[in-house]
Amino acid sequence: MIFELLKGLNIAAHHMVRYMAGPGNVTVEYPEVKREQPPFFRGRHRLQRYKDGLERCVGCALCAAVCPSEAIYLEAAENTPEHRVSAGERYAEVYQIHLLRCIFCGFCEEACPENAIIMGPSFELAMSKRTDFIADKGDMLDAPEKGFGDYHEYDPYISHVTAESDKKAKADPWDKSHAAGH
Amino acid sequence: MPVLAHRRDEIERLCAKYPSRRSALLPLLWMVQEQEGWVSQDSMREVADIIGCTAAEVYEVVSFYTMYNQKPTGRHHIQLCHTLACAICGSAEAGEYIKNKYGFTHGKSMSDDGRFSIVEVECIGACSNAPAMLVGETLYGDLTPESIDSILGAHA
Amino acid sequence: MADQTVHPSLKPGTEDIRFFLNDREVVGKKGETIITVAAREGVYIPHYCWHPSLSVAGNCRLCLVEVHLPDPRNPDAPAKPAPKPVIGCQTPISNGLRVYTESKVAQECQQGMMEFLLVNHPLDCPICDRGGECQLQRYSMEYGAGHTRMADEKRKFHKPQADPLIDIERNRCIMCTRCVRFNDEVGGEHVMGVFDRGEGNYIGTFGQGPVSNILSGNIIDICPVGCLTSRPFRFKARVWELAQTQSTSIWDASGAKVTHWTRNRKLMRTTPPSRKAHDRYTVNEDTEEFIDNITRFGSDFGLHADRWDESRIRIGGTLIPGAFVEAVRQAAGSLAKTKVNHGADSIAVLVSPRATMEEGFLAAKFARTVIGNDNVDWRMSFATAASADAASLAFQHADGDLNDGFSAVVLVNGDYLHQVPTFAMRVKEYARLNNKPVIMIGHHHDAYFSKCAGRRQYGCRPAETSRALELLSLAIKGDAAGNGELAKIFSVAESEVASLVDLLKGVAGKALLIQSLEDMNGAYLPSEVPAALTLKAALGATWKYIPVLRDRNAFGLYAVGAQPGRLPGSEEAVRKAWKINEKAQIPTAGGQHARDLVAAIEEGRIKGLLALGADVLYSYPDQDRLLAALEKLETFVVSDLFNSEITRRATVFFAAASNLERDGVMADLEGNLARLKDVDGPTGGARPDWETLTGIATMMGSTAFAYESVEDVFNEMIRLVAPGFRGSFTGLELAGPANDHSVQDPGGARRRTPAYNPGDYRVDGAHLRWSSEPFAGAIPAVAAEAPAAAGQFLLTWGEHVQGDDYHLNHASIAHLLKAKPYVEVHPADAATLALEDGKRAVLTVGTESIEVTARVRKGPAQGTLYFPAGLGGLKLTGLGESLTAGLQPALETELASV
Repeated sequence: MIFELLKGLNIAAHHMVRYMAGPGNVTVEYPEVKREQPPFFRGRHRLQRYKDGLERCVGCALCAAVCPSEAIYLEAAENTPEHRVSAGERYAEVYQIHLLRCIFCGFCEEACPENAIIMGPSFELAMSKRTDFIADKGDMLDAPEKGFGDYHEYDPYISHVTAESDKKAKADPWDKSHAAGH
Repeated sequence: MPVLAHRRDEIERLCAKYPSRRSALLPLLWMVQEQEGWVSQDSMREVADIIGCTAAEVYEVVSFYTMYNQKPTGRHHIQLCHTLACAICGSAEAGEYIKNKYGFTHGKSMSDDGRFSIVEVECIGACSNAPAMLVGETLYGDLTPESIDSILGAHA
Repeated sequence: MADQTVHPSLKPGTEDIRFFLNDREVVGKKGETIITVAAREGVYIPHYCWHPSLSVAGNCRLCLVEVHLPDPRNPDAPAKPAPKPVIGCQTPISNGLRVYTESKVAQECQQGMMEFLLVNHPLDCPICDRGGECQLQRYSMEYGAGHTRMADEKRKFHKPQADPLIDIERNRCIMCTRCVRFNDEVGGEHVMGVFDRGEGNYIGTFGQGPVSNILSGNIIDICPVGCLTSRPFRFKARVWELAQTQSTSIWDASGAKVTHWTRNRKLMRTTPPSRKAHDRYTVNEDTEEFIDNITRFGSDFGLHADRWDESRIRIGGTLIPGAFVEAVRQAAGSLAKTKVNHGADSIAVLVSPRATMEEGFLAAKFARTVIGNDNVDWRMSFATAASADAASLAFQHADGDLNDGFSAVVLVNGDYLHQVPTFAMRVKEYARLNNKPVIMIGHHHDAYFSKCAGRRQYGCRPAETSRALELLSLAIKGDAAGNGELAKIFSVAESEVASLVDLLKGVAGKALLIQSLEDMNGAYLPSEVPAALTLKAALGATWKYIPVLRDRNAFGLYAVGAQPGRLPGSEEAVRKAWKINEKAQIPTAGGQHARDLVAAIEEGRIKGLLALGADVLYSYPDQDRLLAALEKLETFVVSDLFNSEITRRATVFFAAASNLERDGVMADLEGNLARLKDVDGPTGGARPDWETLTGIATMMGSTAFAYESVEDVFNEMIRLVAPGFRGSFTGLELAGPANDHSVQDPGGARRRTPAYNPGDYRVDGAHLRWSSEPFAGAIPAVAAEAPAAAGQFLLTWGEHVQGDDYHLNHASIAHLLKAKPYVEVHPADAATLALEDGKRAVLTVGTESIEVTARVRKGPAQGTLYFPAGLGGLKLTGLGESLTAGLQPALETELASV
């Protein structure tokens, strides 16, 4: 019994010494400092645009179909020459995600044939009202001047997971050298 | 505006040659084209009424055969061959020359004065005289810029 | 052309053919094709262009199968592979043939064809409305190669906006020509075509016009790809999101079966019944259950902005929303007060022809037991009381149906395609495909039947129709004395009459006599119905009679006794079921006819009115007079959906349940029962009419209205109406996602002959039938028609499903569904007027005139015009007399203003 106790203390002491001697504190001063997330982090959903400001989403509702928690509600409408929203004939007139239902599985971004919905790095999901958890298009759509979001190259299958990013992701999550040097 | 109203007897004689009136469709369309130079939508309706079918059926036939003109033609309709033999011997250049001369462009196949219209057609059987063209029903071969000038100049 | 090509499988011989399907010996009939026998044997051969109701085109090549042929000189030798695979849809079976549908060769063919078909097909499935129920998507998964080798740019067409109801996206077309053949064969007119040639091939209409027929919406369903999609449904929802409810159409008496597709209880689209196909319920692209455009696009009227979904009570001149119970109390009180003050006979009950049988039954019971009179009726749209009674006589003798086909059909009058579209389609398609004689007699012939090869037309003046039928029945009985007169009436040679008589006498097996009751001027029907019944009696017992009235549940309401002088069953049975004691009288006489109701209100004989549905009041031609009369009522209780001129005059308004919110049973004109099914109960404070009536009756002191569900009402009703009925209320429900007990995979067993057999739905004993003795009554004389002034024509008219209709007016795309006014003119009359088909003309009736399109066809008899009532807002109010009308070609200036 004594042996187990000492073994545990040894681990604690090992880490204490290591981090005191090493790069510094493990924790960050959230919310002043925000830790950068790994590139395939599945945070809050974002809807992307094309460079010319048109929405990528065509309202096909495959995301809603694949969603295991039925968190997505979508109503499509037809583009007209006077009112063009997306590149195809069809666009999402209503696009809502119920964030309390969402389990952040990322199936929606995998199902999306247009790479319109992505799960961004934002993990700040606390709200003061329950109704605020229903995110609509205005909450998720990138600003028109922004065009592509930060993840404009994002492709869940190809471009994102490189050897480098894979290595980073599998590295020790508490190692600050990775988090800082992105 | 009925275009065949004055040729009723001729039409009835024509229809009588076939087991069913519908068989007279192609000759009737030729009658329209010979008279008007092209087959308009109104005349397709008229032909449909004569043979007892719908205008859509007539249009199916008209749009299938390229020799029926679906656009108005000029007084002289030029059919320029662009099949192999003529293409090798320079029908493209000949066509270019005519187009430049009368201002034909991609969407405009009739000259402003309504004198000529042009269409590129498949082999007209004059490969020995390539490049060749038909003006109206007359065949002209061995086209050069000079011969084109003189041929077309002779057509007022 | 296609009209000469009869689907081979529809004309199978009797000789058995034995052949091998995937090494299994199967038996087919001589003349059947591989694909039909395979389908029957449960072997699915993929196909696009082949459709069971259409002629064979053989152009998609997806049904290619490997065949091995026996050596005719040496039958014992093993069959040798044919040099090339053959298409299953057009290759007839032969003895000893060995067919392989899943061999390597067949699979390679399927993969190759899929690759060809996808060469130019865009990959816009996320945008395409067909996604999820697309045959191309499905086959691509099941038979395709799974990848593309196509690196070149795909062919693109411009997109015309040709039809307001059907979206054409030519890039997606695979040239199966199903739509072209559907319009040509089933729709009756070759309005679509395949234009241009080679790679430029595209489908379309002449001059980019609309596909203008009432059945055109079906090309949306039969299109195997996303080329033709529904405009009203465009991008509204994805199909996998929708809930399905199997129900029936409320629009016309054909009684089409439908599926309502809803999302969050909101109607998104209506289609023919969805069937189980490949593990999922979907619109079967091989469906033969076509529906008309009104049923397809018009069923969403319950969502109209004018909907009132709360009960309202008149307090101080305004209708104040109130609780249902309060409204029931108020209605019961007012009706009781009127009954006390003015006597039982001062109250009348009106039932909408679109009410279910349960509602009609309760209304009949309410009038007979609670009010204590015979004043219950649904027949307000009839021209005269006499013509309505003639219709009842016709119903009494109705015994025909289309099950198992027919060997000949006689059509008396009628614009069937525009009154009962899907019924007309089934009659016409059966006659056309099986080459049965179609004999049209009377003053109006439906031009829709013009593609039937066995068609014979005998036109006559309206006043002479009954005489013609009478003379014909005499001639059939062997009395040829009247043949001369008959020939004169029909304006044909006497030998022609003799040949007609011979033809009718020679008909063996079941034959049909179909008569239209849509004679809106009412002058001729009272003699035409007995004349037709006399003809039927003369023709013999194999001839069956089907009277045709547009009103959806007319037959059912007649059956349940929702009209004066008729009880739902025998008097003893009714007395027992309704708990009426021996001494009390069940009122069955002296009932107020709905036709004369307005006059009765004006004269002060009727003081209280209970109307189930304002549409029955709206069908009265003279609306101004009706509205003025409603003001005079002391009590006007109405149960309806909408805020309208009529309902605003109510003293108590009940919010009724719409077609998607109520449950019940309706009868079609063949007497088949079909279940109207609610999606999820009524919205807001709406209540189905059976609840309303039950409430009012109970509040008025009756104890015989203790129903807990509509099924209770049904059980009581069906025991009286059809004692032989062996089914159940739930048994009448169509098979669907909720209860799947009889549906078969389309690849499974299929019925082939005859086409459009509604037997799928038939529940044993569901037919409403009154076996009756042959008619032997007298034929009333018709008043001779007044000689028309020069340039005047005798006007005949009937209802039109695309006309002015209370419910259709509230449909979301009513403006697209309603037909533009037209008048049918006989070619001879058109020639004297110098009118051409499709040209504008001015129709003048009395002082009113209206601009119409002239349709020149041999529909109306010479000297008469046929005008579908309710088109263009021209109200024809001079009823019960013959009307004349003038017709003039429209002047150029008028033309410009159109």
